[in-house]
Amino acid sequence: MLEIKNLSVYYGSIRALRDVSLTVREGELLALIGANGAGKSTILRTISGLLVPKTGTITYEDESLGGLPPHRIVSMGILHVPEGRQVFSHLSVAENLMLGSYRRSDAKGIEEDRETVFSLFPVLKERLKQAAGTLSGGEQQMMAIARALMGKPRLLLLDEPSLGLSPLFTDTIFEVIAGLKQRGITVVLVEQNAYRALEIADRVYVLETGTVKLSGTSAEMLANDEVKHAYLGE
Amino acid sequence: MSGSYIAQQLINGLSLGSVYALIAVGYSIVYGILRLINFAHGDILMIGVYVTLFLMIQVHLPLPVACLLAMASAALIGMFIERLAYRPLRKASEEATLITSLAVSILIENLGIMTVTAQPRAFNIPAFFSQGIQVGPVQFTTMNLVIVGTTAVILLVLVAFTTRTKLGVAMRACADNLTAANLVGININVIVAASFALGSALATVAGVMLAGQYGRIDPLMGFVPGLKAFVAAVLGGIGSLPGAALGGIVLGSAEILLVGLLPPAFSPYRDAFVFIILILVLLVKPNGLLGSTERRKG
Amino acid sequence: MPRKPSATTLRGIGGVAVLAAALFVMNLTLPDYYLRIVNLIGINIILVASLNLTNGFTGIFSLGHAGFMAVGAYTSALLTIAPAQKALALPQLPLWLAGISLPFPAALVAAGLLASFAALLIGFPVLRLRGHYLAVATMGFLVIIRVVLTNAESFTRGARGISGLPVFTNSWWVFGIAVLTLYLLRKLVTSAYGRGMIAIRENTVAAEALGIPIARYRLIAFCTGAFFAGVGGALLGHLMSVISPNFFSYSQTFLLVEISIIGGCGSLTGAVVGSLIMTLLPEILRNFEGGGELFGIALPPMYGLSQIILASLLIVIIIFRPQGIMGTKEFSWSMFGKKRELKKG
Ligand SMILES: Nc1ncnc2c1ncn2[C@@H]1O[C@H](COP(=O)(O)OP(=O)(O)OP(=O)(O)O)[C@@H](O)[C@H]1O
Ligand SMILES: [Mg+2]
Repeated sequence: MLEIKNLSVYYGSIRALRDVSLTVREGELLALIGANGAGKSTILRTISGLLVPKTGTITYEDESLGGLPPHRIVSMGILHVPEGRQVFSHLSVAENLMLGSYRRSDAKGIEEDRETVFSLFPVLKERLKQAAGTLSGGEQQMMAIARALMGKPRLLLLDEPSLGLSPLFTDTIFEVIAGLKQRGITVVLVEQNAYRALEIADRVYVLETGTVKLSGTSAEMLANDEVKHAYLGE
Repeated sequence: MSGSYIAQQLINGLSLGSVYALIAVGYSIVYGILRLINFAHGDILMIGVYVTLFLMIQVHLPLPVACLLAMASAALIGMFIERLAYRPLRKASEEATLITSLAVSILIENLGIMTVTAQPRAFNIPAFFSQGIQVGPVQFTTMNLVIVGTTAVILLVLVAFTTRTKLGVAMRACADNLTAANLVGININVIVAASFALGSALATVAGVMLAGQYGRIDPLMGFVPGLKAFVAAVLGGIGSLPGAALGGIVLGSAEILLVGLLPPAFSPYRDAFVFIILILVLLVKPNGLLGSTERRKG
Repeated sequence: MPRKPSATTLRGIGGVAVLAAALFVMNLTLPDYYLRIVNLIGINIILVASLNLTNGFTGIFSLGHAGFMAVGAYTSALLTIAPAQKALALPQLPLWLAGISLPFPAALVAAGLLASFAALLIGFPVLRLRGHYLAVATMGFLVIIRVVLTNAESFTRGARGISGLPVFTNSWWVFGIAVLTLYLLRKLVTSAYGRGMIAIRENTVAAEALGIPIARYRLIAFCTGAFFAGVGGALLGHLMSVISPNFFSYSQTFLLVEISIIGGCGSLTGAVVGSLIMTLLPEILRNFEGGGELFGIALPPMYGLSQIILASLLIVIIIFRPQGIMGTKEFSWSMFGKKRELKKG
């Protein structure tokens, strides 16, 4: 579905990714794990067009994404829930959700997706009029995911959705993420909580200082001593 | 000092404040999204006024029609300037964009001097507008009424636009969080262009109001009102639309009341008051009256 | 024990000698009009170098420089015009001021000091602001100064301005002061103070953490810049012999900012290079404003042309070479040999 080849990305003169290649297959839940600063967020930002790669290619269903502006990429069905939530904090929850479907014009589909989102996150329905900035951290995270779902993603990029959440919220969020596959959404999940990510993921890439260190199925990774030692704290 | 005198001054203040409010809204929308102070905003106002005058005198259009067409031209010019001078600087420092907008301002003013000369021109409005209206002891003109009424209508429409339409909500979204706006698929360039268009059109309306009040116009007419409207936008909390409107009205009223209440010897100092107010407000409330914390660029 | 002067000092003395010789020759040969342009270049060097101290080195983005020039120019005018002449032109002056008549150097120092004092008054509240707000607040200061100049008629004759300033300014004064200004500012920016200022520009938070008293440093830079702006304004007044509020307009501030950006606002050499180009260019362009002929093509009058070209030039430079001609580099002899970055930190 998505193919990244020999990607290098810079912030000014700082190189964040070096020669990264990876593949996302249709319908899978792919996890990216790695230490802080490994370049996980950078990969997602580059896919969604926030960053422009220096070298390398990103191909999505036979179309090249490199250099396309973010709004074009959203139109292709790739939605990115960034690190740190990034809600429109002065806008109401309803407006946030409405903007989630900014590039769509199928009123009926949008209405259906709203219902779906409310069934996944019932709390949002009670908060529709509230400014998003006044939601709790967990609620904001739910809203950020809900907003992306309103964009009818085929590929959803999730950056540390459980960061800073209470165990209860974390459970809810992981349940929802695990369920996305059934809705036909391919997911790339970046997680600090490697163990939880491996539990629900099909395949995993391990990143280290801007390069891909290892990759394989979740089962393989769970059995890998190195991964166990470095990321699962065993 | 009688109550009716104060009422009288309040009406004048409200009318001047309305003009500032309309200009300030344009500053605020653009600043909210780009963190750019567009010093050329006042000069676009000037262009709008000259186009209006041209259409009235050369094409014999009635004032409202001429003004509408001028709004459209100003909108186009505003978008053109953004595309040419500001878009290449999206990632540049605040100072760089500020200087550029000053340069654009000087450029427009001098293009004005070159094409229509620095000589002031008469800007005559239909006699209907200068009719006096007497309500008890308070007296005002139809023009006052039209200014305040038009502004009120425009502001209401603006509120509806920014809360009810997709484009309007997207504008607020861009001002709120540019990254998130990118990620939901808003084309930032379209929104920025729309903001410049909207701001320029509103500035034209404000300019025609000013021109109608003073009866004469010149190529430098936009600079000081532009600067004051910026002050108004800052007072209200720059980036906030209700803030800009409120700031404009507060500033206009304060300016007129200060001039009206202080001894006449002080009235030539009115422009100085405006900036003293600005400095005082910034010191007490650095983010303006309605502003929230500032997101700095870069 | 006398120390052997270093090579840099010798070169400096040599440079000054060459400049002096050039000025001597120009004074003998150039007609008044050209001599005046040469003097304007020198005055602009003083003004822009001092602007670079605040805007470039310390990162205080001030648009009030023309206001300090005005303070200096009016101060020096009121202090030097002969009492008899003042009695006619400014009959309402208070007695102590009406009777005073200072020599030029004293008036220049007074001009600088008063401008500094104005900077202290305005800087105290305003320098707490950052970025845009600071820019607009300093612009507001300029508005206030202009309003006062226009309305305090008994001191300034209002919009009519003051004429008949003694023409004290000549190229010896101008370039003497310009060299002194550059020398002092260079000393300042390479001192511990100067490094502190640059640290503030680069990273205010880190500078604060290092224990640099930010507010005081910014205020010192602002007042020092204003001092030289005041002196420059006074020199300008005594060159033109007429001053009015319109001399000290937004376009004047803008011109200085323009020169500073084009030369490179983090460099004193930039101030020199910028002043040279940006004083000559408008003079050349101005010749075409009234219409005329270029390569046999008749041109219509185009008032405002030079400003239009300069403003466009500035926009192009900001887009394509935002660091200006010099960036943060300074002139050095080694520039002509191997390439090397002179200034570090
Ligand atoms: N805006 C930026 N400017 C400069 N460098 C950056 C920027 N963002 C990230 N980096 C650098 O790029 C590298 C990769 O960062 P990235 O955010 O992709 O890491 P990450 O794997 O997501 O880490 P984390 O788990 O902490 O979120 C890091 O070394 C980081 O310092
Ligand atoms: Mg990250």
